[in-house]
Amino acid sequence: MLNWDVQDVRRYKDKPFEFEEKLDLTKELTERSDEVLDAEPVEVKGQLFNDNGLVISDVKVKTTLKVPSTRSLTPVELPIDIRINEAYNVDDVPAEDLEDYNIVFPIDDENPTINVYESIIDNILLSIPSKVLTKKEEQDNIMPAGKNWEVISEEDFKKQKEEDHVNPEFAKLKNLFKNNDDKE
Amino acid sequence: MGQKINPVGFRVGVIRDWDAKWYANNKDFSTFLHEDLKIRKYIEDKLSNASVSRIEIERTAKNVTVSIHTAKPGMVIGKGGSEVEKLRNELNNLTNRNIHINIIEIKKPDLDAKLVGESIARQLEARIAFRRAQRQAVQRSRRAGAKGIKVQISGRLNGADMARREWHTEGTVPLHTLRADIDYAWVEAKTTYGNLGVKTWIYRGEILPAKPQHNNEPKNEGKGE
Repeated sequence: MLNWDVQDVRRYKDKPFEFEEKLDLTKELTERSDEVLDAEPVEVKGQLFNDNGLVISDVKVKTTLKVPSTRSLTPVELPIDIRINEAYNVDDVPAEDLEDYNIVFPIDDENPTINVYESIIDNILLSIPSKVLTKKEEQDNIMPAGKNWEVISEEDFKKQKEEDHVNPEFAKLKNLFKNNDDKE
Repeated sequence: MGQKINPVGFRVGVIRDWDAKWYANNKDFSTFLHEDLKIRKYIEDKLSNASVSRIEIERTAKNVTVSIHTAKPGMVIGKGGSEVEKLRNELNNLTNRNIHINIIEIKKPDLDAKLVGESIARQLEARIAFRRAQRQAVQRSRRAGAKGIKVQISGRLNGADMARREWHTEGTVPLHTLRADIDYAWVEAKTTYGNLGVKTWIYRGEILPAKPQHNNEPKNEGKGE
């Protein structure tokens, strides 16, 4: 599925090789990442075209994932709408000619195929942001707390540190000089 | 080949603070040090999936405060705070002291070398092509505001017979500039072909020292109209 032999793609010299599919990748995505709790069917629309010894893929991927909030583990619906642009080095184009391309994959000589299916799964997993919050968490900015523990933001931690900079046990020393100041 | 100093250790005391802050006399020093090591090891093992970047330990005469910097506080506290209560009790038992836990949510995880490296390592373990993982991490960090990033992955890349290393850099990473805020981390990915090493350097901009107070005061002495 979405995995073509290089020779088949090469036949499309004058026009791009187009494809459009709806895939159920829930099993693959949940198996490969603990972060994915569920996934809606993935809409894939794209094309492959030949360009000077390279095969270029241009694929649009749309789906919605269910992932846990990084702050509270509450499930969050995360819409994914990405565009994948990758190049496959079919004719061993030298590295200096590949600088214009964002990402170039070598082709395995034993299995000369262009695997868009793997690319879609990889890119969906890579597009999960490192910080996911529910709408409420984003709006209210509530941090959980309990007995002898609390979650705080980096700003609050910095502020707290600045305030705590003076050891409170030494604060009493101030009173020692109070009388002297009064006399002066 | 030039020998390379760890960029974090190089900057401690200049633009970076220590991760352990306490004073002890000769008698207590080794006890406290080993206690710190135990606490760090325990938290790192227990919260290996919780995106923990740094663990700061502060001690006063009576209390120990452990500050856990994490991108996923949810994983640390668990549902309804059950996990953090457990962690606190276990740390109390481990040290026989009263431990207070601060959980600090990292605002921009994409600018933290440890978290970026760990994320790449987890992706490699999930069989994602190393070039994709590397590029994605670099792009994310740049979008988050990094002035430069370098990522190096070494080992049996994509299961190749011969181990090699590949790196990708964007922007600048001035390792010799002490005022350059460079975060560095080394993380290992355990794949079916063996371990891969992931090194990450992130340049977050310069940290300039605050001007001394007397320089800011207006110099009016000896001036008249």
